[in-house]
Amino acid sequence: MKSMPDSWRRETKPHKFCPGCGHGLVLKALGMAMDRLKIADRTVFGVDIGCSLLAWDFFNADTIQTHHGRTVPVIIGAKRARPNLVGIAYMGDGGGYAIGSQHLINATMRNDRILIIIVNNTIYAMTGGQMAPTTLKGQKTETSSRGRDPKYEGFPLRGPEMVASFAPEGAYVARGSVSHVQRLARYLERGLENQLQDRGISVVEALSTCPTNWRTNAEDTWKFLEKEMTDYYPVGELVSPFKRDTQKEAADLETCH
Amino acid sequence: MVISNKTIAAIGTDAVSEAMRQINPDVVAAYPITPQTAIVETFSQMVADGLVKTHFVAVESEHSAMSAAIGAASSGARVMTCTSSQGLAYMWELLYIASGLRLPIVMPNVNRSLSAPINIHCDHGDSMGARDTGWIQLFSENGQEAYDNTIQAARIAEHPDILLPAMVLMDGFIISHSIDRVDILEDEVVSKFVGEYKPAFSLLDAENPVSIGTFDGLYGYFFEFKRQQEEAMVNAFKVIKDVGKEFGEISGRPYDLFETVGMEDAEYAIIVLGSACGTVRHQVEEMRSRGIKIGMIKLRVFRPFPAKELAEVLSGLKAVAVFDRSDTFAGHLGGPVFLEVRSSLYDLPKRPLIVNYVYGLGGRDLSIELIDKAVGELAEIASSGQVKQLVNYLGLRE
Repeated sequence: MKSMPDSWRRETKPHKFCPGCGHGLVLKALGMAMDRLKIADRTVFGVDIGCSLLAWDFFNADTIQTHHGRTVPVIIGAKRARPNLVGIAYMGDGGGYAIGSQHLINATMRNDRILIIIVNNTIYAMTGGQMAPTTLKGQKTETSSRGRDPKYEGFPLRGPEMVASFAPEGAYVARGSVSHVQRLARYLERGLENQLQDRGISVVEALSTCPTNWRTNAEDTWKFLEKEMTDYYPVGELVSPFKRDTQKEAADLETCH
Repeated sequence: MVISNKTIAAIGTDAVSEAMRQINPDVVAAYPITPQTAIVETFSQMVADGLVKTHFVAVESEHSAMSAAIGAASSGARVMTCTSSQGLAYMWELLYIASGLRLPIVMPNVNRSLSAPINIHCDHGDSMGARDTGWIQLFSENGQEAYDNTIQAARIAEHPDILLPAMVLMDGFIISHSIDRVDILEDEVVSKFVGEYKPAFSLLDAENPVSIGTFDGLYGYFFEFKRQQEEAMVNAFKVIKDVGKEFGEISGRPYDLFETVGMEDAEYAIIVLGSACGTVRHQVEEMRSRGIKIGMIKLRVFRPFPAKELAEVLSGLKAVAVFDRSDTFAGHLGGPVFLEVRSSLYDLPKRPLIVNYVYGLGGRDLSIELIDKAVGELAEIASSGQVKQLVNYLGLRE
């Protein structure tokens, strides 16, 4: 694994995310996928409001800052205007599942040929750690100080499962995790390939970490990601238009990190 | 009566949260956005700790926050929400619905510039964009005024002669995130001051069912409704003054439509609103101590706009400088405060000369030096009788 993918913009490294933040790993996986497909020079990368915006100069790729929750329609606009572009909409769970959820649903319905990446860290991180649609049951946040109570605040949203439930033909839907970067990179690569082959929409959720707002040390951060989050948000491909993997490929994917 | 205040050190957002707790609204629906977030956080903690009986709804967007507020207010509840910048912009269509339905929702808005490019710091572009939405707008100079204005806003909005939603404006970071001395009233005093909200109509009155906001086509009363909204704004002048006076009786801090410094003998003056008033006042007082005949008007109420009263105060002046923390992009016509002030002076038999200074966009600091520069030019205008440049950009790198 290269320490820095070629598609990364090196002069902006080290990046701006907090220590322990998972964004750097998601963007590493994305960089690896972009390198493999050699698409950086025709990618338009859209960043949402929230911590995702700190990736505004992350890649050697054209980047646009959108307003909160609207990265999906902005990237769709670019892609429809210039279909040869590779459109990537990069956002957090607030942008993807709360304020911009309507776009996730309608873009999927239209099967727009873009890759949507939703980084799920179970909270609104940029504003200081408030409850998000993905906040786990009982999880304490700045706006659920006694823990999320499903009676009043509902159950955590499983975004990829929701999208998969009505995904049209050609769509690709998966959930990866920053605890398995190679596997996440593979999902992102498939999502991009799906777009390059003009099959349909690609939606990849990446489970990520936020020790700053979780107020956790390294060990507890990783435990929360690998145990509590992964238990509720299972990692894997939910919908894939690709030919079924051979048993060996599937086994490789299962075990790779 | 004996005035009893408890003095605390608080950031502006906490002062507002405290006012919200004391008002004890039935429903608060809000979505986090910098720099307002601290209000939502502190208030939701108060709800979790049982310090306030409010139903707090953590909605998924500002569009939903204002929609939920409209739903709750239509059901006869006392409702509050709060936002900033893009959040206020995202509420746009609902702002008109809240005022059109005559729902007295109170909303602190922590002023922040609007994208693009994205910037989280203070200017007034967000609330000035909402100036024609039919909301009352009260500007605050500091955390104390944000607290005081929030309490008064509930009374003003719910007054039967008004029934309009009200926005309480406070400058992002400069007020919201700065610790200030704030005098807090007793809970019972605030509770008595705001009183019980008794709506004339509500969705939950099963004995008298009503339809709210339904289709009113070409031959309906839409035009009349709009005229009534304007009438309510006219009524608001008196109510805002009365409520401000009454608030003075319980707090020792009376409020009016605007505040003046040295206007009794001023030859020229600055009009300004928001946190910049502190810096301008400091400099105006310093200059007056040196015998310079300058005055200042701190505008508190922007909607309704006190045109008549302002014109009276400004009528004898040689020149006026209007400071705007936002622009209208109208082709060098000036900022929104400038447009209103200039229009207010039109009917005066002898109008003062007028000049506009746009400053502080995206949080850029308004320094003493910049105020001195503007005042120097203002003095030149007053003595020469000529305005060389109508709209000026103070502190712009050029």
